[in-house]
Amino acid sequence: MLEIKNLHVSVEGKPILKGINLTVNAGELHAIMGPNGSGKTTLAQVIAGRDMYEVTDGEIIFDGKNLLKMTPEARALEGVFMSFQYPVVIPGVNITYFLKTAVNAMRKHKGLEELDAIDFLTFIKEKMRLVRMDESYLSRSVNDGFSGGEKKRNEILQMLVLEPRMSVLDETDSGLDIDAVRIVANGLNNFRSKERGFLVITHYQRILGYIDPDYVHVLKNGRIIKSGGKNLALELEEKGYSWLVEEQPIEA
Amino acid sequence: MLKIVKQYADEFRNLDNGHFSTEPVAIQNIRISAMERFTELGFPNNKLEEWKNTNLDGLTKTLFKLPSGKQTQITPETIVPFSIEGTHRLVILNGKYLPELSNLDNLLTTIEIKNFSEALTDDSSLLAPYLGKIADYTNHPFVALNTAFMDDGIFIHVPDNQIIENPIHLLYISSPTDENTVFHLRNMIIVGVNSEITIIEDYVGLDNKKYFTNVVTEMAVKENGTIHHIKIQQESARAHHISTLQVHLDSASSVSLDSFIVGSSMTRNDISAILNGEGADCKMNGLVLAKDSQHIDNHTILDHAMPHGTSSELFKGIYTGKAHGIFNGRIIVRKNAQKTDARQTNKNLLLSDSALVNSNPQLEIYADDVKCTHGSTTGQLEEEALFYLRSRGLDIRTAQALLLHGFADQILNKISNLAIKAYLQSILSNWLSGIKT
Repeated sequence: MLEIKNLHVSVEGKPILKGINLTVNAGELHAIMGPNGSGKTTLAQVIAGRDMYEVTDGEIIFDGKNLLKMTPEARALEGVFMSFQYPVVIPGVNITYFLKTAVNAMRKHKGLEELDAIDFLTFIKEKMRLVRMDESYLSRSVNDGFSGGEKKRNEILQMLVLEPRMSVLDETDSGLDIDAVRIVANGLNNFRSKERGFLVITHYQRILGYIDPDYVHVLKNGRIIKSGGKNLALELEEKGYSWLVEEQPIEA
Repeated sequence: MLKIVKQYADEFRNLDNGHFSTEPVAIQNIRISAMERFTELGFPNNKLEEWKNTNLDGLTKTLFKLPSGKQTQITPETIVPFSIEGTHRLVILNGKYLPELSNLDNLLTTIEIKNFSEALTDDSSLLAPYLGKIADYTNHPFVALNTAFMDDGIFIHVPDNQIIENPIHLLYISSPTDENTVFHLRNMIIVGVNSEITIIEDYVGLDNKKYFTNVVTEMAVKENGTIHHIKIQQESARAHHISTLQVHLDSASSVSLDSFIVGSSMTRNDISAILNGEGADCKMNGLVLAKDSQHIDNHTILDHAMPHGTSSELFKGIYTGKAHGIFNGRIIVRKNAQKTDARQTNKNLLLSDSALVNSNPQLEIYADDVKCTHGSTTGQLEEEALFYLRSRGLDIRTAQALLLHGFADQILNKISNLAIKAYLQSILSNWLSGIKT
């Protein structure tokens, strides 16, 4: 479903990703782990279409289409979603209005009838229960005054309402206490299906204990230096990253 | 003396020998001394600190004439787009009160309300103690010019212990028969002990005429009284708008002053509040929407003269095209005004490379036990926020519109009256849909 081939990305002339190869098939959940500064967030943002990153080589194919040629909104409409590591605070923009606009853009793209205010409220309240968000949330501005945990649950909520086929979660677990990690993981697990693919980027093994990845990759210095099953995550937790030697890149 | 100043002085002399001579002597004397003061002061120029960023060539190179007396014909349909549900409306067309399009209902049973020129000739004992005392004509040339020529507008006096539920909508419509007409409008609003009122001052230009509105509004609120004052400036695109709004607050009184500025080619807005009694509270909010080569200058003063006063000010602006904005916000905390809490924020969005804002917060604090904060930011729409919205499937125009609405809504949301808020929302939506982003 998502094929990343020989992806090279620079920021302000500085190479960050140096030849990423990765395929996520429908139904699979891949975890990407790696130390700070290895390029994890760059990978997530490039998939979502942030234009401050310059793709110098390689391609990203989603369902046979060249993702790199699409605007961020076209990617979203095609079914690609990224959960932000640092969700943006937007004072004055009401969350209900924003989500309704987004959901209806998606429905319009799919040729479905747009939801009116009442149907949308019914729909969103059901999703909010899944991530245990209070109804008062609906009257707030986007991420404005949200705690760290609320911001991350808000990201998962957006995934649940937009129903993407490919979800990239960028450190959705960081900064959360154990209860919040469990809520986020439950939200994610309920959403998994044979039709959907996931790329879960994380610094810690902790969340992987709840979501059971099919594959684990280690990203270091812009390259995937090791890939394996979920046991690799446990090994990393125990030994850290330093035992992996980056001079031996492997093709995933 | 500048030729133009002399022309105004000559015009004044002609009126003083005729039109004004029917007024009480005290009023005539105020006019004469205001005209004297204006001839001494002349028009402000860029050498004055308070005027350094505002070019007045548009006003000093053209003589604006008083209304000709010929009145434009308008029908009730004309004002339909400017009606706000649940309000009493008073229409002032080209500087003259128009009773047939106004609706006071039962207001006159509880408060005193009349058009200003009538109040002047009646020499109301209520008007005299305040006229020219709140808005000082000795130091401000445009107040002096207004005071010399002051014509119509609205006088409102709310006696003690009266809560006026329905807002009063003062609708000033300008559609002069001749180009280069000046309207010296004058308002006075006096609110008694424990009383409360909501006033909307709404300036509307009907067509694309060039004219000059020079308005002075004096307000005073007594102990524990409340004024909600909402000023909407949607003048024609070629109009000049000079406005002076001054309010005196007695102890434990509360005033909110909200400004929405979208019209005119050039605006100078002076808003000042003096917290003259203990524990007074003043909220000042503003939203400027400026495009093309509009020049919008806001000067605000919050003057804390007594202890335990609170004030909060939030002024925002969206500027595009070659628009030029000025925000000059002064907070004064006098020696006696201990325990003052004053906050000021100015935020501006620039949507084009040629738009410009000068933001200048000024704090003058002479008391030692006070809390004062201020902050000012000017920038573009946040790229990160745009990306966030687009990554959820919103196209770039929708995302921009949502962010701009959000920016402006922080001001609109401060209006609790839903009908007024809806009226402002439609002005905002119209403006946003008319700009390129």
